[in-house]
Amino acid sequence: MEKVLQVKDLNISFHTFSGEVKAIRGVNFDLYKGETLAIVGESGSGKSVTTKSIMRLLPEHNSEIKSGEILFNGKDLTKLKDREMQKIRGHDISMIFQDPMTSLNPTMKIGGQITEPLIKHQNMSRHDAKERALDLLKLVGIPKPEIRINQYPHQFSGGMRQRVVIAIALACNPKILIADEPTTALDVTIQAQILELMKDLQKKIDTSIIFITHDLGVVANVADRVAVMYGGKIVEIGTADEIFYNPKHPYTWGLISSMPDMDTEDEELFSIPGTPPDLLDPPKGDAFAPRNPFVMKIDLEQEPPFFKVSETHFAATWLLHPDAPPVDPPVAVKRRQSQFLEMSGVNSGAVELEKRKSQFPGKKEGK
Amino acid sequence: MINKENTISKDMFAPAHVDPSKSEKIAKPSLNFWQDSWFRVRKNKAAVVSMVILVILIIMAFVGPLLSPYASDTQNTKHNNLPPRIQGLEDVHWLPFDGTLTRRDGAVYNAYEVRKIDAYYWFGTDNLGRDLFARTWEGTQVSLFIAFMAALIDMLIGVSYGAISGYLGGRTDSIMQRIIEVIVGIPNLIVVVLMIIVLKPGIMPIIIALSITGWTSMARVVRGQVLKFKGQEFVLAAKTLGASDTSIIFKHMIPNMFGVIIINTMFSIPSAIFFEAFLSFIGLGLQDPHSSLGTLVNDGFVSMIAFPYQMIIPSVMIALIMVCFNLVADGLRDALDPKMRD
Amino acid sequence: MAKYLLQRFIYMIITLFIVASITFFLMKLIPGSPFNTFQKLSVVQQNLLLEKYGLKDPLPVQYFNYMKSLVMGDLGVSFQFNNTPVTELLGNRIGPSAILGLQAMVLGAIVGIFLGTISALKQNTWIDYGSTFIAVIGKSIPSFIFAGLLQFYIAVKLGWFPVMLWKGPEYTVLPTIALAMFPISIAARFMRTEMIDVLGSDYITLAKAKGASFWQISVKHALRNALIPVVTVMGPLAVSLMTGSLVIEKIFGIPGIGEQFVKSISTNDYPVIMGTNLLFAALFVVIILVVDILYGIIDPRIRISGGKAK
Repeated sequence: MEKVLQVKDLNISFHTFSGEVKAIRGVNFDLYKGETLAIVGESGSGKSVTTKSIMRLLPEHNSEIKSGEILFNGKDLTKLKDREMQKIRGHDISMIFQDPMTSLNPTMKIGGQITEPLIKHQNMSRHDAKERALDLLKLVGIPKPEIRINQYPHQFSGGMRQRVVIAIALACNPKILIADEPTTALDVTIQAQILELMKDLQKKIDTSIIFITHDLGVVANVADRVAVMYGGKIVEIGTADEIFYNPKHPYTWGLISSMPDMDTEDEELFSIPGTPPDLLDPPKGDAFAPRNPFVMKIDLEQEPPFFKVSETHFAATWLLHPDAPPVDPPVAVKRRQSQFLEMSGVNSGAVELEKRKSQFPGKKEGK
Repeated sequence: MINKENTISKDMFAPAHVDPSKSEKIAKPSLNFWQDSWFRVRKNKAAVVSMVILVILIIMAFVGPLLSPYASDTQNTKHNNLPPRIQGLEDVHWLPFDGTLTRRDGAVYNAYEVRKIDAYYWFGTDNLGRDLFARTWEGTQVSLFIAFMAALIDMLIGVSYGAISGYLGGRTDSIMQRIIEVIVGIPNLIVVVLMIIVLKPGIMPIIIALSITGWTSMARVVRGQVLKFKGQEFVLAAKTLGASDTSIIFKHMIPNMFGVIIINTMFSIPSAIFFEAFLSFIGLGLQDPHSSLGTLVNDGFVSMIAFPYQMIIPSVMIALIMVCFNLVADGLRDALDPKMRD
Repeated sequence: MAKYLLQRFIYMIITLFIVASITFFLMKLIPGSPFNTFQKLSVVQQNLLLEKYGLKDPLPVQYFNYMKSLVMGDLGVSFQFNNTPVTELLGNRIGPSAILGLQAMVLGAIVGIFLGTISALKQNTWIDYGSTFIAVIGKSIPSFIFAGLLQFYIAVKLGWFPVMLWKGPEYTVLPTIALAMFPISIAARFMRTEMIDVLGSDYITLAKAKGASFWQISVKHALRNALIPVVTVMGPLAVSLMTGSLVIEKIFGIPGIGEQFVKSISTNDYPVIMGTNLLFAALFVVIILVVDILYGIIDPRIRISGGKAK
């Protein structure tokens, strides 16, 4: 499969009054053409910082890309000049933000905001750009676009505004769309609509999506692959099925057991004890160790490397080391793992898994 | 990465125990509101320097007149209109303390030598031969007194009015708010000028006039805060525990608004200093023998061309006080205002 | 919107009525007669004058007459200037004050907005520190001290501009600068805060994500949004100019309303004091109202919903 974006050993720090905060500590991942990669993690795990760095939208005065590469079209985005980066933003890579209530310019008409990237990147005339904007508004499902195009953002509801933001992001048919928690600020019913819309549009324009969220339910709905971030690192990455049904990292176990599903009956929902690590002074060894119920001595000494579970599935935990004692994952995870084994038809204990890619939209919607 | 495995001994994979309290440890020492605020103010160098200057100026306002060998109200017409001269600094010509004056034609002469006077007036003398050093510090004292009193009264009226209006709410609140709206609708200038004309210029009338107009902003801020706190849990908790209205206002709400109250007061001090000086300037200030910085500047204007120091010294003093108060107030606002927290 | 305007208009009338009443009664409280300053008048002559101006009538009658003539636009006659009607006196002097005030307002707004914008765009550079310094100085130091220092150093020492009086455009330069310092600093600080706020907002990030350039972002997106709230400080600033004009006009010997006001205070010329007060009050409420309406016009959020401007 064609890689559209490669992130290699990315390290990002913020310089604050209290010292250097190592927000991203060696992140690696690839994004394939046409896929949806979900990045999940709790607040402060570095998922937004990673994507903002792809767009080079981190605040210039206190953030620093310490090392690493972000390769797009053979170019390293971290080294581009501002002017070159402007050509990529909104044209090749565009972004949808979390809060549609604040992400539109309140004093500019919707039409002007949609046509801006068209005029800038595709040298369209004002008239053509307006025509295209009308099409885009129709595409994202806004009724009466001829009237709406001359209105201001405050005349739109939250869901409608997010549709406008999506229209802006898709204006130039970008190769990559970064969606930074695009549904978090919306009502549940609207969330579903927006997710449907995104899936629908992805098929139409064949773009790759990086979908950031802390909501595993949303991930299950949209993602082909999932990367789990913790403490500024990716701790587990794999296809959606692998992450949901055969998670290997204890943090992923925690995430999954804390998510209610159809099989959760009277059990209390699980919560991961403790707090995320202080990235001002990252702990030695595995950052998750203090919250890990299966912590071993090695966790406190050395950072775990990535262990390969399958061709597509990697996890950074010492539990996968051959010498590690077998552990008993939470009930919810075990239940899922058994489902996974049934699904993949492989005997228990097998590590080699048939490489499979879930169909998009995902199979697991009923789940 | 994989070959690392060989180097790890098996016992490293034994379960370890992590003290859960350790992971919950908070790295920063916990600071209470005032320590935290002080920590923030301290980082603002301009505010700290201003604070130091203000303390020095306040001390000098009391000590200054005693340091000078001349009293502030002793007239010595033989020694009138002498420029500043300070022992030791008189030979440093780029400093304005060498006892020289400039004639209309541009010639520079030493007034002390020409008039054969063997004396040192550090800030010079006025047209009646009064020592400006003593007068400037006394004026500073009066200006600061007026400003502090006015700010204090503003605070008392403003806090009570705002707290009552916000806490009682309903009709009382809306009537009290309409009253404020009308008062705010009248320019301060008019009220202050009228009050002084009626009361006759003097320290107390100026304080009264400044207080009448100055309390409204404090009242509005405090009312806003009270309204905010009214619905919060700690107030509801106090209420369910049977705390009386006064104790809720004074024990629970006001301590939580010290920040905004202090900020507001700090801003009302320079504005009072300004109005006092302004009144002196339009002829409604203190009358002789009392002097404030405003009256000194006003007197200095009369002979500005011949004896510029008479205007410049008190002007610089007002400017210094105003700049310092504003910087301290800005610093405090940045430090205390929770909205500014990063 | 119409309802809101009507409500504001009623407030305006009430405020003016209260100002007029307060002014009237406070003036009556002042001991002594306005004619004391004419030493040569005998008691009989003074009584005649009091009679003539109706100052011997009972207070309610005087109040009623005063209010009646006020509604007719009559502010009475000056005691000191040969019975010249106060309206005429003020009318003759409004020109210089208006020129001075407008120039200072325009200069203050333009320079202030410019300084605030560049210091927000170049945050934490020497440009920012420089303009913050100017803003602190301008905000803190009273305008009459600026006036005095400018007059001494620029006019007397350097001789670049006339020291005082009002005879042509070059005479307006120093007073305008002295008067504009306060609006400059307030506008600059407000603009800086607003601009920083706007620059940190999500829609600016979105504009960046669209590929907009630095200048497109600053001018097209940020400046307009930051300017809207700045309009709200223009009202209070215009009012501060009135206060400032009293001393500035006195210092530079400008024949405006402020100078007249200061003179009439020292001569107890009550009708002039009252008239000027009312004029100031009227200007004040009108300016505040105009600013509110203006705010509603330029902010689309308020324009459409027709809600309150505050």
